[in-house]
Amino acid sequence: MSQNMDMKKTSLIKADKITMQFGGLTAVKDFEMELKKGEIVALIGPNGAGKTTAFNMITGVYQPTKGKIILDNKQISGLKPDQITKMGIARTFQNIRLFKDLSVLDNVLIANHLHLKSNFLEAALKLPKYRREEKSMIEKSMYLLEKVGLADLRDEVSTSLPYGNQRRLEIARALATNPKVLLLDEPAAGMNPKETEDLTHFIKHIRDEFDLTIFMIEHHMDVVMGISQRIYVLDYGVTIAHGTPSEIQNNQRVIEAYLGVEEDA
Amino acid sequence: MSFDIFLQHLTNGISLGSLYALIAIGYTMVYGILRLINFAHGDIFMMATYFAFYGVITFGVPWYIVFPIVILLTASLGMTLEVAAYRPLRNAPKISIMISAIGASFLLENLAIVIFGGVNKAFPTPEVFTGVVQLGPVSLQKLTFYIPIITVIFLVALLYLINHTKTGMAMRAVSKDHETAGVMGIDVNKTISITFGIGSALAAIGALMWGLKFPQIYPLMGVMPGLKCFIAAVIGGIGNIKGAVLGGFILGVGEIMLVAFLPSDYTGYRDAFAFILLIVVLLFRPTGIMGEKISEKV
Repeated sequence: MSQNMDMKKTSLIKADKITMQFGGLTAVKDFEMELKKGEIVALIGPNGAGKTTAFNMITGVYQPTKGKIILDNKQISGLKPDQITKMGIARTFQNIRLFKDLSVLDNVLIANHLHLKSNFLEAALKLPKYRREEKSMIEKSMYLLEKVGLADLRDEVSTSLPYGNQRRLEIARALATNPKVLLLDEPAAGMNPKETEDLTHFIKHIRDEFDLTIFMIEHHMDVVMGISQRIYVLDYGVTIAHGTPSEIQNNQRVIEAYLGVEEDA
Repeated sequence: MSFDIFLQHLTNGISLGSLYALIAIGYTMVYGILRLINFAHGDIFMMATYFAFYGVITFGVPWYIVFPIVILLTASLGMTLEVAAYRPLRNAPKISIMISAIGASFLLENLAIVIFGGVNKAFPTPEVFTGVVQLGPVSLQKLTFYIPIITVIFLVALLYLINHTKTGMAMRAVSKDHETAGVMGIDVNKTISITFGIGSALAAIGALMWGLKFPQIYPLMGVMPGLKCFIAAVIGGIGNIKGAVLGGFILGVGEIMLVAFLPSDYTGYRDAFAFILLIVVLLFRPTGIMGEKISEKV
């Protein structure tokens, strides 16, 4: 699918001047973003720039104060998180939020939950329909765990896994909801250079295999520059730059936002 | 005291304990999912007895039709309470929602006094539930014998629902983390609503059996059982369903044994037993017998 990607560039998700205010504080102001199908796009900016707030608006955790978000020509701003998830947006969290005390497999099964059709009676009586569904749900979850290399650890308690594996599990869990758009919030946080490199390949791989469009917040510039086609830069809630990796690398405002203005320049 | 008499008291205790367990489950489920003590739970329990009273006595409908309707009505009452008194405060500080719970409790109690009247009413006791069963040396009221059986049936069904169904899975996910559950495609409001419905339905089942066992109903009758079952849930480890059941049994058996073994001058301390037990458990095991380790959310 990556060959004809350039031919068919339709907008899949679009944020139209979304603003998030908390009382008097404007966390994100007039944020505009557009992702085309199959793209990997990064959102960068200094700490506290409003990146995660933007993610929270897109996933319905926050309702934007102003502006709207369109997915597949349908407005999704104003919907609840579970409705947005059903329409095809999944995410991971910056501060890993697995379901504690549940096993690795259960974490993925829960995300699969919304595709289950059997009702309580069918489940209680273990009717064939329910057995089939349960079986295919477990198979699908195991497939995803294999993809992220955690199949052997299916019965471990999720939070007992090493950090890098927890991040992978979060991705498997997000994939289980069958998303069109995957939002990754600092997927490489806390990873060493080797793990970071693996992750870069992994992100490309899942994009291709699951036909995803990826929007990611990341601080590791190796990852950002290595795989993203475009980059948005936020600073104090305002988009200060937007462009290809090389454009961003040479953008004066971005350099200033990250490094501060040189006084004696 | 002979062994036979001990057995007699033990079965009575188990029977009372099952009732406590049924009500305690409602507290623990709501706590598990919202981290809220639903102070109105005891009053929902009281409402169920009045629903049954009016159905059977006033409208003269047979009990086997009335009781299932009462369970459904009580479940809807619990769900309505959640939507009206707790949902609007979902993101408010914990203390606000707790105050709302206390308010809801007073509202139901006073509403009952106004609508049903403060005078005790006699709960209908259908003939099926009267009479005595002989179990070896132990002779029991039929009802005392039925209560633990009915409790166990509903308990098994509940545990099955929670551990093996889609709804149960959603409930477990929401109890861990609302926001993440939502992002995983789980309808958080619906799941919380179902939790209140189930908790209230179990309270209704408990209330019906309570009314049959102690056939005097009055608007404040939910206060003491409510408090005791809350204690049972805390003793067992609040948030843990099996813990609530265990707590209910400990409280029920303990209370009956206390009355049986202490000199009659002290039987008035029956209610105090629950509170003393609560203090002792909290001193030595603050999270209850089967409670989870407390880890502050960051």
